[in-house]
Amino acid sequence: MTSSTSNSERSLIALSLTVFLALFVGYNVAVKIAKPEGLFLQNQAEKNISTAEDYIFEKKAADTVIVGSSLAARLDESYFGKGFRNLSFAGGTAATGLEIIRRHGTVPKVVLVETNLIRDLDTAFVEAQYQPLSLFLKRYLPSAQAKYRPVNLLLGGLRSKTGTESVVPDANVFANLLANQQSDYSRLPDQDWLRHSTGVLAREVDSLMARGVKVIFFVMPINAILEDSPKARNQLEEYQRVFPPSRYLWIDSLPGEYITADGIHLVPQSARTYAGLLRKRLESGPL
Amino acid sequence: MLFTSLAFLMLLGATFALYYLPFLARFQVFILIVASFVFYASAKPWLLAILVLSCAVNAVSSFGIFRSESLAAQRGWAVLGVSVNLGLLLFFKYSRLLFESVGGDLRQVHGIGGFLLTIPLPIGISFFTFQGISLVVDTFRWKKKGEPIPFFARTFWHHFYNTTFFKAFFPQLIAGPIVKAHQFLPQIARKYFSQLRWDTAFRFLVTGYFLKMVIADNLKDQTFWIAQPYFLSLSTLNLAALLFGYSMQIFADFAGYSLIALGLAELFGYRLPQNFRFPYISRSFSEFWTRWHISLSTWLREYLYIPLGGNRSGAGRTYFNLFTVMFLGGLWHGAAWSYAVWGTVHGVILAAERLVHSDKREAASHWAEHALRIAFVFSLVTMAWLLFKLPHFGDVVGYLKAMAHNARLPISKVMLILIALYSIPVLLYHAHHLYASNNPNRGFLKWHFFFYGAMLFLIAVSSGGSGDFIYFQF
Repeated sequence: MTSSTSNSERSLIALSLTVFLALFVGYNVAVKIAKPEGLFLQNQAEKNISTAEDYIFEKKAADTVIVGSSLAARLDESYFGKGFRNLSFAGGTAATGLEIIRRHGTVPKVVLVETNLIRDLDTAFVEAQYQPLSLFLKRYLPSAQAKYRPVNLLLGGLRSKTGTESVVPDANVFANLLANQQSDYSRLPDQDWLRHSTGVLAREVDSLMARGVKVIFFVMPINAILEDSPKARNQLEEYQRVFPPSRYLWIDSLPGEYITADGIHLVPQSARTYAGLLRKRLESGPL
Repeated sequence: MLFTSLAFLMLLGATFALYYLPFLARFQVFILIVASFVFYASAKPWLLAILVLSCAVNAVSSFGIFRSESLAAQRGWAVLGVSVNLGLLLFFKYSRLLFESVGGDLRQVHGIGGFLLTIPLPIGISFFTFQGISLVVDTFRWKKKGEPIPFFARTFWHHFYNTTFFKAFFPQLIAGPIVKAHQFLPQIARKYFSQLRWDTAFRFLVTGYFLKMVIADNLKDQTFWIAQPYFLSLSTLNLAALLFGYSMQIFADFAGYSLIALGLAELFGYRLPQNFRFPYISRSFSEFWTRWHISLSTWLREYLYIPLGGNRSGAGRTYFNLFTVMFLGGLWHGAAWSYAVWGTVHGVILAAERLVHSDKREAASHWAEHALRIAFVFSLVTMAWLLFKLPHFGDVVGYLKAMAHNARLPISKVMLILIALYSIPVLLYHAHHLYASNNPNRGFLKWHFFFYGAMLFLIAVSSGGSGDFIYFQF
């Protein structure tokens, strides 16, 4: 095979590749040296990936790990203090977090399982995080990790200057969102699917308990109307059928004044309050 | 198989290596057909049967035209070919829509009827069907002229082989550009590694992957909020920004795909037609349609608008033709009436524009007027994209109502910043073209390597979550 590529063509491609290499190496070295903290994450998917990456690359698992959906994801780790990790995934479910814990070399002492939403274990997501080439690159090249994307560094800096954004809902908007949730929560999920999903969850829980992990179930507070809806009752009943309180540890509801943004997701102030109560309950002795 | 997946890159590497091996030179077309079949069948192998059936239909009908001596027989074959093509498209893409539109309830249909109505849409069928029609019609037109057809093989099997390659060639199989038979078939010949246009392929591929992976895939995670019920809680400014972002995203997604397709074809020595020419600098809607999805608009003009009479049969007929073409062009995009409405909206605007400007010649005007006209066309085009993003009319109305009522809601600055950041490259891409076309002796061409290097860097470190190309669904 011979090529008659002209000099100008060669130079465009060669020079472009040189610029690329210089930027790529320079960026990775800079991030490796600076190790920036408190970075911004652009969207849910990226936040989920970054949450998983942080956990996977931790040498030793935290003492207490929370797993769940976007409801538990509202419980910022900073609300708890040291020793807590939140491995909850927006759009996901506790089973996904449990699977990542199971694959880690070390296990936490306590796992808190949020029971509000039942969804399938996201195997595609988990496999993508453990894909060997991607894992290798992420381990040695910071730029391969979601949190170190250039835009996240830039916006992390901007956010620290502008502060976080208000998320207290407008009354009319909230009424609309709640009505949407009511409509969703009035329908029961397919019962065969529900039993299958909790079966998967049971295998994950049992495998961790066999390794000495204390697994505790809890229910995130949601709007009272939704709490008493067919879907919420049905899912909790199914959870308690598979993990009966007589044999598994459950935290009773923690009464308080909670505000949600849309009927199910706590606003930050309420999430902080609930996290404080949850921590106190764990510290107060046997369940 | 996505152009952005590792599996695709491996397939591409293997195909490229085999393709240029001197002792396999005789099998170049065969290698590309096999690679195209692997590419197409990777997710759902049964789809291959539909692609092969479509190739066979077009090979038989076009060869029938080629071998027929009488005009009546040629016309018969042409009608048969076009009808079967449209029938396949109608069946696989529109049967469900038509069934539901006449009040049918899919839950009540069981057995074979239910099975047929719920067959998933074969990916790329809209594109390869239109290519098939172009083969039949092109053959008929050449034959009618009584001239030898320069792109036709002498034997049926050779013709079938070429037709299969023409329709299945993987760079353009899933989402175009819609290549016409007379553009592609004459290019089939042995290709030499030494004649490869590396520079062109490199430019197409880097720009295409950058637009898709860095711009469209990141904007996708913002425009995700253009959905019920999420948009209800967003401020007017955020809703407007999201629409703007979607306009940027759909361009970056589709233009990016098209550029990748052009670059990939270049790697195998084939040239595909340009599909986008900086559409967001258009000063009129008629200009917009000469810059957006050019291969579709030229296809519609050559194979529908002109055969319908074009603008040669009086004003009334011209407007009717315009509406028909835009209505069908809209519906071509998806099996939902919102796409037809989207096409019709464009048809109405094109008709209005024609009415206003019918007797006026384009006069040179001030740059500010140009800018205003560009902004006006862009705004209307962007508003119309809402019908693409939200296929339910109720949601479209809900979105517009939210835009009208949510002015006092808190503004998410982060969303505005992200949309702006990812839109800037698209704006610069258009601005650079404007600048370059007004300054032919531009001096910064020599710095192009810096932009390509930077794009490669951003592809490596700032790609968004991989997502299907928007036009795959069509």
